[in-house]
Amino acid sequence: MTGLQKSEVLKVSNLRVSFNTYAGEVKALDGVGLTVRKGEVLGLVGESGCGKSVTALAIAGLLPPNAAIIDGSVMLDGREVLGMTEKDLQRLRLEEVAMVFQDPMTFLNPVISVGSQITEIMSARPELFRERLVEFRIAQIEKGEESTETKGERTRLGAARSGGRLSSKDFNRLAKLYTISVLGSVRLPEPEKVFRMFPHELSGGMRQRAMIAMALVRRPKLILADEITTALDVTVQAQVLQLLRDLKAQIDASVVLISHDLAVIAELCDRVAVMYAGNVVELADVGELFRNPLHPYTVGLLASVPRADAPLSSEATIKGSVPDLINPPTGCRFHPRCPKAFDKCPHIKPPMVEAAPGHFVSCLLYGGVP
Amino acid sequence: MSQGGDGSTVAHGRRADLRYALHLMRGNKLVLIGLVISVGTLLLTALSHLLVNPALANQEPLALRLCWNNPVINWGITNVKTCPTSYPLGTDAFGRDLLQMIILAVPVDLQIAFEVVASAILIGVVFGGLAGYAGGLVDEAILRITDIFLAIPAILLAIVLIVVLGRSLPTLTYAIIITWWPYYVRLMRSQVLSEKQKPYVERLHAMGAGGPRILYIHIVRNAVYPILIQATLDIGSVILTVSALTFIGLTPSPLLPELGNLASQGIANIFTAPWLIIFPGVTILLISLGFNLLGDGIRDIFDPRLRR
Amino acid sequence: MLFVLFALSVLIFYLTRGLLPPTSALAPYITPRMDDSAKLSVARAVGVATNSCPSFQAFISLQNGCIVPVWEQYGAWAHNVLTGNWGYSLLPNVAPLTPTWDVFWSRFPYTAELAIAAAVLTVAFGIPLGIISATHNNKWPDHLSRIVSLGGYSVPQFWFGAVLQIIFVLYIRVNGLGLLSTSSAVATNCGICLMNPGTITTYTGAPVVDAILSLNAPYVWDSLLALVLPALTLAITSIGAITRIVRSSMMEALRQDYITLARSKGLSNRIVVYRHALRNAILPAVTVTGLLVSYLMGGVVVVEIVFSWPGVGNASLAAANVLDVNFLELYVLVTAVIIVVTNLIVDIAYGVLDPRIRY
Repeated sequence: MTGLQKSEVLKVSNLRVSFNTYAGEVKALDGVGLTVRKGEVLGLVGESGCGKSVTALAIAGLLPPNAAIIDGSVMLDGREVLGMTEKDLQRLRLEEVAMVFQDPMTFLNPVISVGSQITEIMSARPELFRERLVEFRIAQIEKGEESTETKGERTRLGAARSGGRLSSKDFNRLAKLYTISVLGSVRLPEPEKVFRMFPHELSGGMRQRAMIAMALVRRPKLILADEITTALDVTVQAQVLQLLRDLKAQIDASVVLISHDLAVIAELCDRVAVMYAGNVVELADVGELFRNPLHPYTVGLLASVPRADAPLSSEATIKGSVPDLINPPTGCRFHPRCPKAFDKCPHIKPPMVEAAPGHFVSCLLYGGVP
Repeated sequence: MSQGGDGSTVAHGRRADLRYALHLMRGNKLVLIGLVISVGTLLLTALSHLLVNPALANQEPLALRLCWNNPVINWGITNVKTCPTSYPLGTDAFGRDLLQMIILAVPVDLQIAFEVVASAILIGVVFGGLAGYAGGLVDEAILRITDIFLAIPAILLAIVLIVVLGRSLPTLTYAIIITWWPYYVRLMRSQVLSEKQKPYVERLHAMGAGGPRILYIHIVRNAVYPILIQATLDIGSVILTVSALTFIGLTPSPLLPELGNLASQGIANIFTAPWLIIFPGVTILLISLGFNLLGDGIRDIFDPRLRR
Repeated sequence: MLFVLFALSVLIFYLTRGLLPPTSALAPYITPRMDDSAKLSVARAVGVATNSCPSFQAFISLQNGCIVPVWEQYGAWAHNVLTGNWGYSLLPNVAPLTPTWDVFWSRFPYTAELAIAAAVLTVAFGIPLGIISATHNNKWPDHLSRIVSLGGYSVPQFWFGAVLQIIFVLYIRVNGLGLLSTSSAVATNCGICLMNPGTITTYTGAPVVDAILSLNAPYVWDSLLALVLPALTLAITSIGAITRIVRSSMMEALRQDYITLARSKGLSNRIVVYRHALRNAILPAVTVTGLLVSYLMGGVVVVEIVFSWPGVGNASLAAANVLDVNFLELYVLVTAVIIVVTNLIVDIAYGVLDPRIRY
């Protein structure tokens, strides 16, 4: 991970974030580094509390007010995100980074209709979406898919296409039609109806798809998907994952898929980063990681997944519990629980080394001891 | 603090709660101010008869009425009568020392406030608890009755009651109690309803924890905190209501030392003797402010969502 | 809703007819011209005296068998009341033989004007203060608004009204007169009023409304000036209450997850606060509207007395002093109707604003 390569959409380096809480300073991120290449799906896996969501929020500039960015950089397409003004961040979130959240019941506004929560994105900055909407509608009319064409619409659209004004009435209508089409593309049944409905009227899976639609309309370069299947039933999970797989083929975005569920990671990701207590401990291609885990934590994580074809083994758990991030362990944060810890571990924080081509690990077992 | 994860609080956890609460209180200046004022008011109440002889609450000669001679404040009004002897806050329409009358009046107001609030708590806990716990027809009936009382403004009902019951200190108290209890019944009822939903109730049932009476006691114990907080806030509101009623003249006797009563003489003389309305009113404002700050602070401290 | 009104009328009826001597129930219906037999027949018509009562004197001395039991009096009372017969007013400064009904409704528009002005002030000040307080948490706008709200909530209305009068009429003077005047519903004697505003035709009875309808701009100005201080005094407590509620519910709303999602969509701060947060935060404020209307309708009594405002609140005190219970009953029932209707509107509004409870 040296320097910014042409195809890197996201590069996070040495990100340190702390939270000021009543109980003390929570050192949530302790130098997180990762990269996401264009078009790839990077999985971010780890237990609850290891900092996966915080990393995503930091990338989108959505950290709560009691968070302090102590150090590090987040480069999105070559631009530094940390320290951007709020206005620039808003533009960034609108066009480049879209975040999809875990529990759509609490993340959707209960008193605004689903469709309205999507069209408001476009209405906020009409000039950014104008062209796309006009082209979309023209294509729709020409294909004869949408039968309700209003009088003179074709001419108005043609005028708008060549630089003329688009009235706000027309714009709103186009936004609505476009939203309905996107709702359809995330496989929501009867999208015109869903458009008018409120979040509490939809099922969990439908709400999650609506949130994905919210991300898609923006055609972002990067999608941050934070535990998007965790709150869903298993069957619905499978549907949403299938949807993502199909969408991944169509759209041109990179995805950071955050989950604590290894199965989900294995399904969709090209590369995986494993996080523990605010650090990225291992980063590799997905196949390589599952075949050949290097970091003791990753080994323990993979071993602790119960398998249908093997008896349950009581040794397949990682002893100890998640560390207190107000007073984290010194040196390598995993050392109190590590079966392979040795004398240097409490004293030296392991740097990220490339133990095998494309396979990075942060453990003194593989180097970094001066 | 140990909390049963389902919302019940084990007994020894309460002591730790209290310690944490006191720690928070020390950091919150407004609550401290409220505490100081409230305690000060209570002290004044206790000591008032030691400070001022109640027999002084009688008419004095004409020459002493509505005079002012405290050099600290110059009202800028022509023809302010000067008093022969020194009165820190001037004299009232009956010639009595206003400061002494205010000191005598504070216990009167506070006593009414505590009686009203205590009665309202009692009625609220009993009937609100009953309504919430029993449900069904009992609940409906009690709810309808509170609806009736909540459909008229408190002051109007109090006026009607005082008109028909006669003017005396007890009827004043009863009138306010009758207008106040519906809020507490409603509050207690909604607390009990939400307590009933909590898992620990089902747990107690499953454990066979005795009959409905024991269940009732558990629920009430948990439901009663918002009521107590509301009661602290209401002490100020009751004093405001009492003083409003005596101010408009529904008082047993014009000579009664009571804050609203003292001020009522002032409205006729508002431009010639403004101290008569200002100082009793400031006293009411301070007392009500003190209890409101205290109640607010206690509520902020015990609100689990605002911690951390 | 009707049940509540009916039950309330029974309650008030019992309080006034049951706890006061029957002569006070009769007083509004007899004129000085009547002789004893006429008075007796009126007593029977009103339902307080039985048909078997021998004479008016027997009735006055509460002879056995002469007085109708209270619960039986209700029918006659209800019949009278529903046909608009509330007897003659006993109020001291009213011409004799003026019906209570007329006295009440001639004064009611002044009270309505005052209450509506106070309601407007409450919304105009309370909601923005609450929002600003929440969005600038712990900075100076927050502290200022918390002082205003706590002060408003704790201040005795009569004192606040008096202080306003002292400041704006006594101390701040223009051209030798106070800045504002507080003698009645139209300001005629103050520094910035136009002292000869002309006349208006009475359409509704409320000065401001009538002045607007009569297209008399100076009169509008003068009547608005007279309205400022009383309306502010009446509104101060509800401003305090609304500010607190809006502040806490806005803070609660801004903590919610959907705000994070809204920000993540790149929406501007203004949209996030006013469209997403406020729409949710307004709900608790709406539920308390019924209570506030109740409080305003009660507060007019004190405010009208402090400002000598010619409304029904003022008159109700005089009624209490002369035991004109009909006036008080009418006042109570009209107020109850207003409150019940307001609660109904609030319930409907809540259903409109919160789609979750529409079924």
